[in-house]
Amino acid sequence: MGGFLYRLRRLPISGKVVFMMCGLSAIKLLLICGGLILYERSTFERQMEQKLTLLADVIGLNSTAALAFNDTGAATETLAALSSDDHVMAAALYDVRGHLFARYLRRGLERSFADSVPILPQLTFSDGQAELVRTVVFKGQSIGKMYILSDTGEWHDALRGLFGIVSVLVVAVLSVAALISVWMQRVVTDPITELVDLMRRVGQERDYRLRATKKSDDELGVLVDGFNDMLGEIGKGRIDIERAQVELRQLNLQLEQRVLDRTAQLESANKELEAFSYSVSHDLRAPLRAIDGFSRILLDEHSAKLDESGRDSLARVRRAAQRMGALIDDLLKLARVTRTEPVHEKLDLSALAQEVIESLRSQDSARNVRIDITPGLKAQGDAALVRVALENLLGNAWKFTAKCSEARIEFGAAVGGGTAAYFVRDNGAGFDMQYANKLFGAFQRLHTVEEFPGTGIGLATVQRIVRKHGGRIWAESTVNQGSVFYFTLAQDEARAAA
Amino acid sequence: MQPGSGKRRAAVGVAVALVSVLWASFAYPQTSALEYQVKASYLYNFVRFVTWPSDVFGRDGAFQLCVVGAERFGAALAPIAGERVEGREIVIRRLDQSAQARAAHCHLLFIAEGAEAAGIVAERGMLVVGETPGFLSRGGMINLIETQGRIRFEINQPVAQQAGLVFSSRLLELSKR
Repeated sequence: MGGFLYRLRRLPISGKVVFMMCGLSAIKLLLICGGLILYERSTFERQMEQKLTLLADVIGLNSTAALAFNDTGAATETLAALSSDDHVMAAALYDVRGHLFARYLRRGLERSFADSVPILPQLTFSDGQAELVRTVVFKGQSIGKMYILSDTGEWHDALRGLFGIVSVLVVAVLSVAALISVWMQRVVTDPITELVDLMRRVGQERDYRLRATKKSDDELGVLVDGFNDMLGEIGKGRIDIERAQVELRQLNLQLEQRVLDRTAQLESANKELEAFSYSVSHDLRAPLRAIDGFSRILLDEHSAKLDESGRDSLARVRRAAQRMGALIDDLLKLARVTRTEPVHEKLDLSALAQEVIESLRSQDSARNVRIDITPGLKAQGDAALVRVALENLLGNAWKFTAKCSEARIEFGAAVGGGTAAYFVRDNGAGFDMQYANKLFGAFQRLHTVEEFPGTGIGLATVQRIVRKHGGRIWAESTVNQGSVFYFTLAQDEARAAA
Repeated sequence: MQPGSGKRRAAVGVAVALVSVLWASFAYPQTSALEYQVKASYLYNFVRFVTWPSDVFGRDGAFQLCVVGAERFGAALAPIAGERVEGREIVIRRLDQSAQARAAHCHLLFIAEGAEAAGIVAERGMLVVGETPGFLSRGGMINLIETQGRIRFEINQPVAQQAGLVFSSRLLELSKR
C-alpha cells in the first residue's frame, strides 16, 4: 500500500488525473454491478418461486383425476411432462394421506424419494437446489401434495450472462473513461506543463521577457497571471541592476582614469622636484668646496697673519662648510634612492648586517658593543638599497648607544605590532613615543647635534627604501632604555622570515 | 356449499376414508367387499368430474345417486351419503329396477351386474354407470371393468353428450384407452 501510494505520488499530474478518473469509473461500475447482481438475485428467487409454484399447481391440477381414481400410471405420465424443463430435477405426487403416489426424476439422475410428504412451508434453497411443496386442490378439497425439486442452474446461467455483460461493460467503460480522461486531463495539465516548461526556459536562458499564455479563467489562469507579474517584476529589477552595474563600471573607469592622470601629474611633479633638488645639491657642492678649500689655504698658509679669533672663525667656517657638504651628500643619496628602481635579487640579510657592523667597528674601534645577529635571514630586494637602509638603522643604533656602558645591538626577525618583521634593537638613548610620527620626516631630529651628530635625513632615506620594496617601517621606544625599528621588505617574505 | 371450516374438515375426512378404502382395494382386489368400496369411491369421483346441466336439480339441490341391485355394495355407499359436491348433498336411493330412475329424478344411476334392463333410455341429466361387459353398447355411459386386478372404466361420450353431461377431460384421459 505504501509502495503504491509512493508510486502514485511520483506520477505526473496528467497520470494522476487519468488514474483518478479511471479509478472512479471502475469503482462506480463495480458498485452498480454489485447492486445489479443483488437485485437480480432477489428477482431470480421470486421468479423461481413463481415458476415452481406454477409448475406444481399445473401438474397437480392435471393429476387430480389420476389421484382421485388412483391411476399412478396417468399421474406418472403427467409428471413426465416436467422433462421439458431442464432445471426440474425431481417431482413427486403424494396422495391425500401423504403417501408417495407418483414420481418423476430427470434423466440420468439417481435419487430416492421420501415415502411421506416432506414438510416445507415455502420455497427452500439449499445446496444450489430449490424445493417446494404445494397442496393439490380439486373443487375446494385437498386431494394430495405436489413436491418439486429444481436446480438453480438458471441462476448460474443468469449470473454467467451477467458477468459476461459486466466484464464487457468494465472493459468498454474503462477504455472510454481512459480515452476521455486522457483527452480531458489536458484541459487541466496543459497549462501546468506549459508553465513548468516556461519556468525551465526562464531558469536556463535568464530571459525575463518570456510570458506564459493564459487560457482559462480558473485558478490556473490566476497562477499564470501571477507568474507573468513575477517575471515582469524580476525583469524590471534586473534591468535596474544592470543599469546600475553599467553606471558603476563607467564611474570606476572614470575614477581609474582620474587616478592615472593624477599619478602622472604627481610623478612628473615629483621628477621635476627631484631633478631640481639634485641639481641644486650638485651645484651647491662646487661653491662649498671652494669655501672649504680656500678657508683651509687661509689657515695653512696665512695663519700667521691671523690672530687666534680669526683662526677660530675660519675653523668654524670650515666646519660649517663640511657639515653642509655632509648634508648635501645625504640629500643626494636620498634623491638617488628616490630615483632608482629596486632590482630584486636574493639577499642574505644576516651577512649584510654583519658587513655593516664590521665597517662601523673599523671606524670606531674604541667602542665595545655587544652585537647579536640572527643568522640565515634571507630576503628579496635591491642589495645596494637594502645596504643603505641597514647602514642607516645599524648606524643609528651604534650612534645612540655611544653613551651606554654596556651597549648592545640586535638584528633579527620577530613579530612586532601584530606583523612579522625584521628588527634592529638597541639599548641606547631611545625617544619619546609621543614624537614617533616625526621620526621618518627629512630633517626631523629628536636630538640636538650636540648630543648626537646627524643630518636628519637617514630615517627618511630608510623609509623610502622600505617603501620602494613594498614594505613598511615603524618603531617602538622608551627613553633611555632603547629603541626597536621594525621593517618589512615585502609582506610575504617578512612573514616567511618570521 | 356453506363455507365452514367444520364441514370442510368433515369432507376431507371422508376423502381420506375413501382413499384409504381405495388403498385397501389396491392391496386386495380379489375381495368383493373391497371391490365395491372402490366402486363406491369411483361413483363419488364421477360426481366430481362430470358436470350436469344446472336445471336438472330440484329445489332442495340434492344429488340423487340411485343404485339398482344395491345389495352388492353392502355398507360401501354409507360414507358417500350426505357428502356434498359443489354444494349439493348426495342422497343415496336404492331402486328395484332401472325403469324407476326417471320417476326418481336420478342424476346418477348405477346398474349392478345382472340388474340391467333390456334397453336403457338415455335421460337428460342422468349419468348411467354399469359394471357389465358390453354395457356401453346397450346405451350405458360409463362402464366399470376389472383389468389386471385393477378397476378401470370406459366411457361412451356421445351418449353422455346427448344427455347434456360434460365429462372432465382429465376423466376422459383416465378412461380405458
